Amino acid sequence: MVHHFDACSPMVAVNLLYNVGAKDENPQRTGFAHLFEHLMFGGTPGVPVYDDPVQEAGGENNAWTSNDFTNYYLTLPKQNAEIGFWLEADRMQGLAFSPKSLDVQRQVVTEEFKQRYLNQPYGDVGLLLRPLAFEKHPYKWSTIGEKIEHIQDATLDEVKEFYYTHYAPNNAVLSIAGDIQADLAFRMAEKWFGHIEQRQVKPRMLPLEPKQTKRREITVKRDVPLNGIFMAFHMCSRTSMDYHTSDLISDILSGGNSSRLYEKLVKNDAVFVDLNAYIGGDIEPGLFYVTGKVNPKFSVKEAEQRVRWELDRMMNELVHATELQKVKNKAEASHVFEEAHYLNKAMNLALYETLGDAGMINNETDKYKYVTPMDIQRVSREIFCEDNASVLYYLSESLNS
Amino acid sequence: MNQRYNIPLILPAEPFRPDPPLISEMNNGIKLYAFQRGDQDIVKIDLVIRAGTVHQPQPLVSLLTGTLLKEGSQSFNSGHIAYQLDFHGAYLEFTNGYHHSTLSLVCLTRHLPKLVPLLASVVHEPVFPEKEFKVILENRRQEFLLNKQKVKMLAARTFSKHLWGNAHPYAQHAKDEDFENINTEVLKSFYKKHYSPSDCTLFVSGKVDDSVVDIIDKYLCVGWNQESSNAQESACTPKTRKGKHIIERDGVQTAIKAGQLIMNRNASDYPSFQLLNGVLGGYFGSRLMRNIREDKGYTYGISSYVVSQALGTYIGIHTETANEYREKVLQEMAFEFKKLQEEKVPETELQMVKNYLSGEMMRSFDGPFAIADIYRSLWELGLNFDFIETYIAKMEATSADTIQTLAQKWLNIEDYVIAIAGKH
Repeated sequence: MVHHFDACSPMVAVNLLYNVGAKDENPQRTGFAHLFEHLMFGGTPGVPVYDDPVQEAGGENNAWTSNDFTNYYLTLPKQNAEIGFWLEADRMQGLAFSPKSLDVQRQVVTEEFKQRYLNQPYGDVGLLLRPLAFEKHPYKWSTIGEKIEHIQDATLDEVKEFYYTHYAPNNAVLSIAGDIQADLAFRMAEKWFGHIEQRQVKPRMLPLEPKQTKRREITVKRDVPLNGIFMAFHMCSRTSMDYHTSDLISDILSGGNSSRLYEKLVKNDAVFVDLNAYIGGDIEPGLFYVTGKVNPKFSVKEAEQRVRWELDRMMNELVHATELQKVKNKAEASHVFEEAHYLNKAMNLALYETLGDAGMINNETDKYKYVTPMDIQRVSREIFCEDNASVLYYLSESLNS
Repeated sequence: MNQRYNIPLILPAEPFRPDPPLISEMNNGIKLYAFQRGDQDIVKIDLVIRAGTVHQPQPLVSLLTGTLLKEGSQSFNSGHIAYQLDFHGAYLEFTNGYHHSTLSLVCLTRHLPKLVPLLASVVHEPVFPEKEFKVILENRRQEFLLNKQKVKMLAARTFSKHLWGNAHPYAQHAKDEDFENINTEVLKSFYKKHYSPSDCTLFVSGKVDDSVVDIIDKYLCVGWNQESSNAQESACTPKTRKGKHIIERDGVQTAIKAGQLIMNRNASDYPSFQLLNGVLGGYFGSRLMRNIREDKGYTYGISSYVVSQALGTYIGIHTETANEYREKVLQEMAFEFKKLQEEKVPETELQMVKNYLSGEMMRSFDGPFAIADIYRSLWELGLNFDFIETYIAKMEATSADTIQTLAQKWLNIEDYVIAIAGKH
């Protein structure tokens, strides 16, 4: 458990992070971790409707699932903080496992799949790009799942098994931030969570992704107004020394209107209408993305070539010290802005504690400080190597008919 | 008995009274509202200008004028401005509203002496360069084309056209040809007419002390002279066309937006109406969510909300659902309306929503900047923090009878504008 005192507003965030995500799913039941997150709101023997006491206490709650984690959080007026401890401890002990809840949530998630991934222009990019970049590692499917059928086939027994093998005090970090003193927070945690027995958590044995040795590409045509290019490159893990360097590389390329890609390819030459470089933020070795929508005056090949030149420049030339300083300043400032919210603090503390040490949150900006121009070049050469690229050409039907 | 069934006592909310701002007048007469809050060394300066879409002579003008400010001034070109902002890890963002637009600078407090002069140059002497104008216009046009494909956007636009009437300033949306008929001359004249200190107000939040206010006064206000206000706003009566309005569009889901005009924010029954809206669709456990999502699974989400603006207030309900559930969702909506008209809301449910709404109010004051944002939205309607106290008191005093009476008056599905976008 981690605690942080912040009295900026009279509220407390109760954040519980379970170390289970889409990467822990059975390949035949993808989307399960996220479906399960929905079921965690389906009630327990003691609390038929999870939301009722939260709302009665003036609180709000939600959750998210990523490829790495499932995170549950509440924000409560400080006098009712204990409600959060009670509710989270309660559903850590057991669920009602109602067949009706499973039926309904299967359908809700199916509608979510449609709303967010199928019925949005470019909404299925992740569904196409992940399996191109990953052949073995479970990052090859999205948290929503590889296909709707996997969700629709989920059974109640599978739900129970998932719960008992991943939801356990020894597989979670409780993080409390806001207007609550440490001794009170620790006493409440002991009172509500202290007696919950550990469970046998399945050890994680993820298949290693073989090193990519050849460029990969696919092309799709959809009803969208512009041609899109979506590139993904393998990059290092969250705990690697090079993670922060990769983050700075993405800022040199596309952090703000003075960044290289924006200034050259969006503003000056207008090759792209919008162009971004960013890291996925995955825990295991993940992906570095460069994605853009092409101005119809340019061909997709030409546009890609222009991006390639910029990536080559990252590999061939050392970045100038002031340009590097600029992105370091930017990283420092974003860190300070992010910390201005108690809920963000609670989530970040839980994340760092899961990675090994909540104290890492205080060294984050230092890790950027020591990155050198040589580091930028070395890591760029690893990432942007042509053999490491997976490219999705997402073409507009009307422009390519 | 297992301890897990030993429920902690829920305590009532403590009275919540946000600190009012310190108000001062700058050298050139601009009013500055200061909110000192939080312990991070960060600050946000909002320059609010009475230059919104209701003032513009044609679509896109107010948006592009504001967006182009940071694309070049007499002293600095757009590259320099972008570089200075990025080098200091700062953000300069423009938000376009109906009656006011806002230019916001967010940065570390220590960088203010560098960045306020830059902000001043951007505000005092923009040049609206052709090249940047063309790029931004094209990017906005592409964004517009993309949005036209989203059923949610189609439903929202259809809804506002029928709620306010075609001629109403809130129902003016850009069309394809508007992107052809605009040029920098129009922006320059809009800037000249509306960006005058007499039409500006400042809101500053975060780590704000006297020295911060001094810097703002010295660099942004001194020498920027007062001219008389040009912001004319004419009254406009909405012409609602209730009933179903359908836009056909291919896809796997249909978007629905329904609603009607209601009383204004300063009306005495407004807080009670907010409570009714809460029960209906204002939170996760609301009637609409429980029935249509949690019981039937027709949608990923459905919500109702109240939108208050200077020229009118409405209740809106939005959802996206599988095409085949379209009629069922509308039926269930009507069913929930009727239920609220015919049956009193149980006390426990009413109390829960009251607690939720007052907690929500506290929660909205998250972080050092939110307080200024909330104050500003009240200020735009001629209100201040006193409103919040009265609002919570009135909302909490509302009885189940009042809710029923309000439901009978305001939840008649035949009075609603219902916009539907999707495949039939």
